[in-house]
Amino acid sequence: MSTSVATRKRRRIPLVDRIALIICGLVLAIAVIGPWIAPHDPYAVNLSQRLLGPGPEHWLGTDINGRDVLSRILTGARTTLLATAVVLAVTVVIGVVVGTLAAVGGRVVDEIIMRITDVGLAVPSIVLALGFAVALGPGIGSAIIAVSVSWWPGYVRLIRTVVRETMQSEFVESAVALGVGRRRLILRHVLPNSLDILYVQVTLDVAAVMLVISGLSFIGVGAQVPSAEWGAMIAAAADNVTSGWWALVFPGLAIAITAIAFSLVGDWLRVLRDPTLKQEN
Amino acid sequence: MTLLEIRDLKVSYGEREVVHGVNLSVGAGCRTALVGESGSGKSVTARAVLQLDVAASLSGSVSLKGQELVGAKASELRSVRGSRVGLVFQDPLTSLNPVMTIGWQIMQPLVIRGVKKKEARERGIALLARLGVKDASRRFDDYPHQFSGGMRQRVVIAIAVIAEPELLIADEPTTALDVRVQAQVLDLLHEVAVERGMAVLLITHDLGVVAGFADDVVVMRHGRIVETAPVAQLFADPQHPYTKGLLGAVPRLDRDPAQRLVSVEEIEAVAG
Amino acid sequence: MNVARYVARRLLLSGVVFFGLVVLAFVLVTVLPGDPARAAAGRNATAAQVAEARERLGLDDPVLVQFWHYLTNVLQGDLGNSVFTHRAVLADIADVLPSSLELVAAAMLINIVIGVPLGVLAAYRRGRTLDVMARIVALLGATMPVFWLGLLLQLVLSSRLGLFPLYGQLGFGERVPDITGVITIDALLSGDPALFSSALAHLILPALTLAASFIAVIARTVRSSMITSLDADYVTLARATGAGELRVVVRHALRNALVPMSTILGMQLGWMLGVTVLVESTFSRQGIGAYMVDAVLQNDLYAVIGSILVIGVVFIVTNLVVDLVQLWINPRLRDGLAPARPAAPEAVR
Ligand SMILES: Nc1ncnc2c1ncn2[C@@H]1O[C@H](COP(=O)(O)OP(=O)(O)OP(=O)(O)O)[C@@H](O)[C@H]1O
Ligand SMILES: [Mg+2]
Repeated sequence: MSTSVATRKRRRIPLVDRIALIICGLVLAIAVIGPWIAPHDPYAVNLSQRLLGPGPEHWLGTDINGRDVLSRILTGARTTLLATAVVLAVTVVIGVVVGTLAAVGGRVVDEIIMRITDVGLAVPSIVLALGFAVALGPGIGSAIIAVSVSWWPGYVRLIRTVVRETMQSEFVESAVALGVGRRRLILRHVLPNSLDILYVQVTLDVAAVMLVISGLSFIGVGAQVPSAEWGAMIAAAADNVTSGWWALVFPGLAIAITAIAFSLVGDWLRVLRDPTLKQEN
Repeated sequence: MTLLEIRDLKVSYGEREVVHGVNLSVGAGCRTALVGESGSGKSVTARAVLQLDVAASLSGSVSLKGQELVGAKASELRSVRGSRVGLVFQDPLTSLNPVMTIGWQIMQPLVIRGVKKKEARERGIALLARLGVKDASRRFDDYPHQFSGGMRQRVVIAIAVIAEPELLIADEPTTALDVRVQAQVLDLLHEVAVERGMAVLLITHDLGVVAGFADDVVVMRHGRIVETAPVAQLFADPQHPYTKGLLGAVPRLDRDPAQRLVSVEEIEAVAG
Repeated sequence: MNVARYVARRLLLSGVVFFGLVVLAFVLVTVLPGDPARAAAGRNATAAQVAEARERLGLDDPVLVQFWHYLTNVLQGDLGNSVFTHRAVLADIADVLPSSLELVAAAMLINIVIGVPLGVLAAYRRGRTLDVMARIVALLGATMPVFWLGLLLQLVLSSRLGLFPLYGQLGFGERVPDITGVITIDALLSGDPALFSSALAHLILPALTLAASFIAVIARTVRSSMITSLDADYVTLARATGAGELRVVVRHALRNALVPMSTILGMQLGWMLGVTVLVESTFSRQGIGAYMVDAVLQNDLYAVIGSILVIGVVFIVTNLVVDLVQLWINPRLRDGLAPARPAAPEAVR
């Protein structure tokens, strides 16, 4: 009896993680339907309404151009999150292909790939992204390419490690003993058993990638004015820090809350996957 | 004279009690063996003496020459640790700090008691040499990974006894070593204990090592003491069926020469 | 000789990574779309000027020849010229780098002074309130957008409360003699305490902003390594010899955490220099970050790529230094018994 209570307790999602999950769901929903639920036109400049504080008409106030901050945040979620999603999708695919290659391709291939990832590690993503942004010209598209280029080495290293571990596990050895071909072994046996770590890492990385993308927009090489991208909104508000705090604070809160929620969910997934981490981590 | 007196000691982890009222005493300068199968609570009992395990809650009494340790203040416990009771663990691989020289580790118990570095070093080297480490003064500044298992365990013993405790608690000090080295280390421990008049509480699940080493034997099972007797009596006339079973498992010379831990005379002496 | 082999291998690896970095920079200036000739000639250049630049840069040569030229130039310290300052990029960077190093050093100090004790205490009081609080601090630090945090600090601490100067590196009208290029040090050398405290006051907020996102990682690293050593037998045995808790934690356990800690701190130093791009402009500080942001906005390709190279080289050099320091703090390394470098933590970025 006491054991069943214990297991039921363990299965229940901790309150903090439940809230985080709900927030993640909300943010994703806003990314989809945000533009339709925005109470105002996010791009309608209205200079008679500039820098109004939060109030019944504009819940989160208006910016220097009289645009409704709430509507811009709701609309901008799509830009930020879509860019993040594209970056993560691209880098995960590269990571799986190249990482697997490094793990099973022999010493030389591995060494070459690892040294390339070393280069990626030597320059912070935001800096490398600036290089690509200037080479490709500003815009959210080059921001996506830029961040992807700086992000894939992390996935390569991760996948390489887990594929190597899986290759050494017993069921792979028995598959080899049964005469399963190498290609088939890797595609059908090793990879499906290695990739669950990706759920965890991708969730954790949502926050980090989002921070880089909005950082690029903040600098001015990502999403361009008048886009409602969160980082760009902060950049626009930065010039009047003193006269309208709300235009600065709320977009930043949107980024921070989303980042916190995804980090918490990522940590929760990680513990779910490997319960021994609960103590260690 | 009784040095260590454990009365009705109970130890629990959370809700679970793992030691259920143990009585045990070690006389000054005597060597007592605590034997029993794996999981019987030997280590838990031993650790309870110095209360190193914060997760364990104790009740009952542990007294050292009349000084009660259960419920004692932290400062009181600290003054007992090292200077009155020393401790040796099973695994010499994990018992030494990998990033510190063995010399530093041997000197620590003296240094924290205010002994001058130079003197501590001299005493450390002398002790290490006494414990059979060749070239002790040259090897004093080596790191643990540069030593073999048996040598490391000598270093661990040096750390435990350098502050000259009255009692050494050795929790399976030789289990992790290979058979030849086991005998050497035990002999050494015996000699040093006799020289210094130091009492030893030796924990083992191997009755074979007990015969040549201990004066008294305490047999433990499932968190309880099942039998206490002088070593000769225990071997000659075990009372408890569990002890008889244990004795049946003792390696015999005619069965397995590799397990030869005690001399012929000893076995004969014990067997009467 | 293990030590010699280790050092040789580390040097070789650093060289390989540097080479890779130059390849990357070359790809960015030459191969990617965008005309380097136009970039070098400037935005308003005439067709003739562009053609002249193309000729001068050898852009019609085969790629490998171009790369060879690029590599030799870089090795001689020629990172190209800025189209805006009309000076060598390296000279530009040399002017502003001391200011960035000052900021990074201050941020690193904050990072260590807060992050390490936080990790130690969290490990020591694992699962207790303090541990949970440390986790929250770490989570906030890691998820706050750096650029937003800087602005918030300005808004609240400078603008509202007036505790710190809003921006700049010195007060209005204050000047320091240009001795080292590091303003706090120059102010100290000038012997004017008011000047020095002004320079410090201007440094605190940007340094705090820069440090915030790094504290989480170092605290986590220290915590997990401390948990391992606090649970180790040798720590229990140290207690069993009568060592006090402070000594046990600091001398016996923390010493072991130094190995992973120094690895992470080494990487963080290089990355911090990069993250100045999100901090320096906000606080109107001079530095490589601000220089890079200006260069990006003005499409100054060589200045941007040059900055990337410098930041990458700083990363490579600090990591090489850390690798050599490891020889000293990790005795097992000297005998080839430990992995040469703990696997790069995947989640540190
Ligand atoms: N830290 C702890 N937390 C919870 N339970 C523990 C702890 N340490 C020991 N126990 C439990 O106490 C019981 C006795 O363990 P103990 O380590 O004393 O056995 P032992 O006799 O020393 O065995 P061995 O010969 O294997 O060392 C075991 O059931 C064990 O699971
Ligand atoms: Mg035990």
